[in-house]
Amino acid sequence: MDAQSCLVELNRSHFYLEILRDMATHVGVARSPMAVMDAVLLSAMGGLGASCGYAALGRGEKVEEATCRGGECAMSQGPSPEALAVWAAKVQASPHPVVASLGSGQGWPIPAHVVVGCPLGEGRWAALLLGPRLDGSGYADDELGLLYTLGVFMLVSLRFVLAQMREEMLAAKILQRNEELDRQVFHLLSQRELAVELSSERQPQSALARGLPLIMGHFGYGQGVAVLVDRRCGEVMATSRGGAAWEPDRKTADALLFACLSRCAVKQVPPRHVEIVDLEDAPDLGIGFIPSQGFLFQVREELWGVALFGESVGGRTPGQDSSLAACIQQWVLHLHSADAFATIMNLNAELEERNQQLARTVEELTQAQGRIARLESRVRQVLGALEDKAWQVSRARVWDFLGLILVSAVLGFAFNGQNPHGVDLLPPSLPPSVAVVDGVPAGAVVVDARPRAYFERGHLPGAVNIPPQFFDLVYPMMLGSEDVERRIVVYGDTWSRRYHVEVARLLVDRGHEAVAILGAMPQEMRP
Amino acid sequence: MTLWRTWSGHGWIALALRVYLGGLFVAASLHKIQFPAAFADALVDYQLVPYFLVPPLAVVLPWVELVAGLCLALGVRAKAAAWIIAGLLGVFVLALVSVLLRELPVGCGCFETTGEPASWRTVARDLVWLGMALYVIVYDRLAHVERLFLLSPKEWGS
Repeated sequence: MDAQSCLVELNRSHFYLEILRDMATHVGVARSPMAVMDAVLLSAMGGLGASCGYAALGRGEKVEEATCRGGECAMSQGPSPEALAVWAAKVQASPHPVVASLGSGQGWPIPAHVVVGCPLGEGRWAALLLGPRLDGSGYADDELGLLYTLGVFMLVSLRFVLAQMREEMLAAKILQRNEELDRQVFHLLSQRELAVELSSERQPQSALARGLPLIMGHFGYGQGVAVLVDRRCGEVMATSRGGAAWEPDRKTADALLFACLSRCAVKQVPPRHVEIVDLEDAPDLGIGFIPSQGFLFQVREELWGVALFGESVGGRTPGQDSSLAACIQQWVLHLHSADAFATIMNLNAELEERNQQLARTVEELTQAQGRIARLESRVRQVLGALEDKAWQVSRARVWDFLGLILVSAVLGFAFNGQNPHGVDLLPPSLPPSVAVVDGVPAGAVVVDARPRAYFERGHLPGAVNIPPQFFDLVYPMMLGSEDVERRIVVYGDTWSRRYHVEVARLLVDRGHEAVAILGAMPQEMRP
Repeated sequence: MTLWRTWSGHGWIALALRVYLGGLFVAASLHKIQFPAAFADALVDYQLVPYFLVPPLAVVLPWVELVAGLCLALGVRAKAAAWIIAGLLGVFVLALVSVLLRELPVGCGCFETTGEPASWRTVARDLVWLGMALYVIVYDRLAHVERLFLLSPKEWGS
C-alpha cells in the first residue's frame, strides 16, 4: 500500500470515527428507542451516503414502531409478512447484530440494499434498512463494517434506553402504587377514626348521627343522609348532613327503604351485610339531593338501614368505592354493636326491675309464710280446742242430765202456774171435821170414791160410786136427798191417788157434817 | 262386723232417727203440757207413782219430753237428751208391762190422755223407739247445732 492509499484509509477511518462520535452524541440524549433508531439511521445514511433509510422496532412478526428518512418511502404499506418472518427468524437466531445485503429489498417499505438487525430479547428486534447510495454504487466491505459497528451501538443504546424506559415505568408504577397505598392508609385511618369515635357509642341513634359526618368528611361528600327503620317496633332513626333537615316518618322511611331495595342487585340482604344501591340514573328519592352513592344494610333482623351520599367534592378516586363500602360495613358493625348494647341494657334494666319485683315478691312471700305459720298455729290451737269441745259435747255428763231436767222442771212449774188447766202441786188435805174410822158404822152411807172401773171390779156391799171427777154430776143423783147429818163413810185410798180424801172434802163442802173416811182399804180391793 | 262399724251411713241414719224421735217427743209433750190434770189422771191409772209425786211429775215430765225432744232434734246435748229419752222409753215399757201384767184397765197416756189403751202393741212400739234411741246414742255424730257455738270469740282468736 502506498502513502496515498494509507492517507485515504486514514481519512476514511477518521470520517467513520466522526460519524460514530456524532451518532454517540445524538444517541446520548435520546430518551426513546425510536429516537435512538432515528439518530442511528441518520448517522448511517450520512456516513454511507444512502438515499433513503428505514428503521423499525418489532416483536415477533409485527412492527410496533417505524420511521423513515429520504425519498421513496412507503410507510403506509409497511413490510410484508413474508419479509418480516424471514427477517425476524434470522435476527432472533443470533445474539449479535446481523448485517445482511437484501439486493432489491423486496417486501420492505423502501428499496433496501442492506439491513442491520439487532435482537433485543423477549422476541423484540430492531431493524435498520438503507436504500441505494446517492451515487448509485454499492456498499463496500468496510462500509458494511461501519454499519455493523453502528448496529452494535444501536443494540447497546436500545437496550439501555429500553432499560431506562422500563425503569421509568416501574418508577411510575411504584409512585402510583404509593399513592394508592397512601389512599388506603388514609381510608384505614378513617376507619380507625370511625372505630375510635363509634366504639364508645351505646345507642344506635347516636352511632348513626356520629358515623355519618365522619364518613362524609373522609370521602369528601357534601351531602348525606342515613336512616334506620326498626320494622319490629316501627321506630325510625334518621340523620342528615349538608342539606335541609330530613326527618322522615315511618311511611317515608319505608318508601325510601323499598326504593333502595329495588335498586339492589341482591334482594335477600342478610344481617350485617351491606349492599350497594344502583344510582346510575340519579333518581330523586325525596331526601333533598340527588344521591351518587347509596348503601342498603340490615343491622339485625328487621332493623334495616340506608345510607345515601351526594356528589363527592374531589371526585371519585380509584379504590374509593371499595374503601367506602368497607367503611360502611364497619359502620354497620358499630351500629349492630350499639343496638346489641342498647338491647342488653334494656334487658338488664328489665332484669333489674324483675329482680326487684322478685325481691318484693320473695319478701311478701316470706311475710305471707310467717302469717301462714301463725295462722296454722292458730288453726291447730282452734282445732285442738274444737276437738276438746267436741269430745266434751259427744259425751253425756251428769250436769247435762241435771241441766235438762232442771230446765224442764223450772219451765213446767212456771207454765203450770200460768196454765188455767194447771194442777195443784200439793195433794188435797183432809178437813178437820172428817174422822178416820177403821170400819163402816151401822146405818152409814158407804161411798166408793174410786173410778168406775175399779168400782166394778169390786166394792164394799151397799157402796155407791162417786169418783171425784164426776162428783158434781153423780152427787145429786146418789146423795142429793140425804140428810146432811147422816153419817157417810168414804173409802178409795190408792197408791197414786187419795180419792176418799178428795170426795170427803167435796162432801164437807156440800154441808155434810158426819163425814168419815175409811183408814185402810180392804186388801182384796187394792189394785 | 267391722264393715258394720265402719259403714259411713250410720251417721246419716242416726241423724234421721234423732230428728224423728225428737219430733215425736215434742209432739207427745204438747197435749200433756196443756192439760197436766189429765196426764196426772193417766199417771194415777198406772198406780206406780206415790200420790204426792203425781202432780209434780205430771207437770215436769211433759216438759222433760219437750226439752229432751228439742235438744235431740237440734243436736244440743244430744247424747244426754238421747239417754233421757231412752230412759223415759224404758220406764214407759216397764210401766206398760206392769199394768198389762196386773191387767189394770188404763189408757196408754202416750200422746192424748184418752183413747189409746195400753197394750202389748204399745210395748212393742216403745221398744222400737227405744232401739232407735240406743242407735242414736251409739252412732250420732252429724249436724249438732251446739257445735257452731263450741268456741267463744276469744277462743276463735277474733
